[in-house]
Amino acid sequence: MRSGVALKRSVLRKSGKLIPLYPTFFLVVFFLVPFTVMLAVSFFHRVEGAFFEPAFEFDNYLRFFDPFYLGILQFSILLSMAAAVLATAIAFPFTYMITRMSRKAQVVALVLLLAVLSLSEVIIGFSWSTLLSRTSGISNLFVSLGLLEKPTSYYPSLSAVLIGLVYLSVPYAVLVLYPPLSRLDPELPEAARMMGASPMRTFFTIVIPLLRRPIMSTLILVFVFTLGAYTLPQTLGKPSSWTLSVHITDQAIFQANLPFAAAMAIFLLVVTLAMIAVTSMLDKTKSEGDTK
Amino acid sequence: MEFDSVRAIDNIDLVLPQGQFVCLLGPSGCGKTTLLRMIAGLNTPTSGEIIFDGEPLTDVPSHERNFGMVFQSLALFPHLTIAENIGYPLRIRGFSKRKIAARVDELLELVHMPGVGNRQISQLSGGQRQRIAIARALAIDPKLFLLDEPLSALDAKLREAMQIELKELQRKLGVTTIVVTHDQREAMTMADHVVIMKDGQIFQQGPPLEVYKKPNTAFVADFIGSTNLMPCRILSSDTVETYGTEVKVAHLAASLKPNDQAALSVRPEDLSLIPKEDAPESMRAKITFSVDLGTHTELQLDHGGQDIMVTIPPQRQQVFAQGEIWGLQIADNACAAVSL
Repeated sequence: MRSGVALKRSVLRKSGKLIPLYPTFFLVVFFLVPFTVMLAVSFFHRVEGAFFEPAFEFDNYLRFFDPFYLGILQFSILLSMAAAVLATAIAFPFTYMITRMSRKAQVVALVLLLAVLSLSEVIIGFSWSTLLSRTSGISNLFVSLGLLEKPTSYYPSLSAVLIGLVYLSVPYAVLVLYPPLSRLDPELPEAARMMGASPMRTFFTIVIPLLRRPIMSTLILVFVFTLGAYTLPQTLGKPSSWTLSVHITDQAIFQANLPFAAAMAIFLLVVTLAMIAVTSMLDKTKSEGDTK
Repeated sequence: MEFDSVRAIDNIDLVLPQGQFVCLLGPSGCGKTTLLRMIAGLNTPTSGEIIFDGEPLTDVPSHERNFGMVFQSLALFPHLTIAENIGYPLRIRGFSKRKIAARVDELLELVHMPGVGNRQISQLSGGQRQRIAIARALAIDPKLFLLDEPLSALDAKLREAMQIELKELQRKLGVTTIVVTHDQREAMTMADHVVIMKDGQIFQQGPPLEVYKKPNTAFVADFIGSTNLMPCRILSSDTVETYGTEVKVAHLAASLKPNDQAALSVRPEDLSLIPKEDAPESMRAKITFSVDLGTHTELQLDHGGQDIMVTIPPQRQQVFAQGEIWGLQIADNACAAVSL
């Protein structure tokens, strides 16, 4: 009896040690191995007209340091930043108002939002291209309202890309913002109201500062998320508003230049990580200043 | 005011006296907080009117009411310093930095916490946070000072100290104050006027001692202080009959008429124990529990299946042992006959 219990305990203890193996397994198989392969490929030599051969050269990286690709990198980062700011600016008041509704209404709103998540990037891209087109787009509505002389096309254009990216990321932003906003003690904004702050003033002086951290996380999430989008810039944008991700896809699939595509992807990853690190460091020093 | 078609507050008519300390008292879920929030403008009544200083208040948004409020969670802003918290209502009203700083210092002095303005909220203890929340609510010299269970998060000793301090502060400033509480001791300590609520309705109101001495219903008698409720029959405007004995009462609820069945509220201090031979059979009880607290002795007796509490002053060197049978004697002109 006693040894049975002891045996059970030792099995339990061993199984406790097994627990970290599960995430380790997945990280190795689905992240570390593919990433290592990509890293290796980024140093390989491309064979014109064929595929690539193993090598260790920096040509792929050096090729990137040319005004054309650096310009694209800069454009991609600025575009994603704009998308992040717009999506968060739209999602934050939206989510705040949802959390002030009744439980039932909240569930309905979140279910509708999740339904939007089920739309793929491709569907969103084609829907917006129709909506912004000359033949059947919203400009026809503006014409019938007398706002426009004749229907025009709003795509392909930079604004169309931005609209598509924001539309794609708002539901994610809401999902990130919902838990912290619903945990916000309703007495805090009420206290501000009692002290004479209008609802607007309460929102800007109390609600937003209290949720600085979740807002930062949302900005970072949308930034990273839209940086990887390539279907939307391709469907809704002119070649001049193609992002780095579009060019990576172009190199990998259409130009069959996997080493260069891999090098660009790694470079994008490093830049992204660096930007997140800087942002969170700035955020940290600011909150440390707060507690002083 | 209705929550999902449940009436939280039902047909209340309440006139609150200017400059007084009012306690809304009742068990949880009685609607006292809802009533306070309606006065604050945070809830809107489905029907009826709120009038303040002769002006209708119902359509004035809470940020234009110029009231001060201390919330149950205190609702101090964690992203602001103590001085910024207290100065918030002044900043909203566009006061100059210098004026705000001077007023904040004055308020910190008022709540006995000078010189802590630059600290963070997280560095304060529960009692200190309490004081800051009070200072912040008083910053604009509010026309009305509202507090929702303000002391519920404090431990018993600190709570008692804060009750006295709050009362002194209110006297000094003369601001009309409404406090919501479920703690009858708290209400007795602080209030000039208590309003007893249950199920969204007002059961009784008046000065605390008057409500204590002259309860009209069994609920009020039991809720304010502890009491023994004994079944009784009204004989005349000052006499009732309980367990076959006649008792002269100090108060008879207005709704009671002779021959009505009612309850006699007998406070533990209005009962005394007499040798069982001197009492009729129906007034004998067995001691089930006895504790000598030094200042007085508390006894619990079994009186025909009903628990009876008795408090005995310490002057008699009498030992009351568990299991003994004694006679109960109800003091004349002390108890109140209340409706059930």
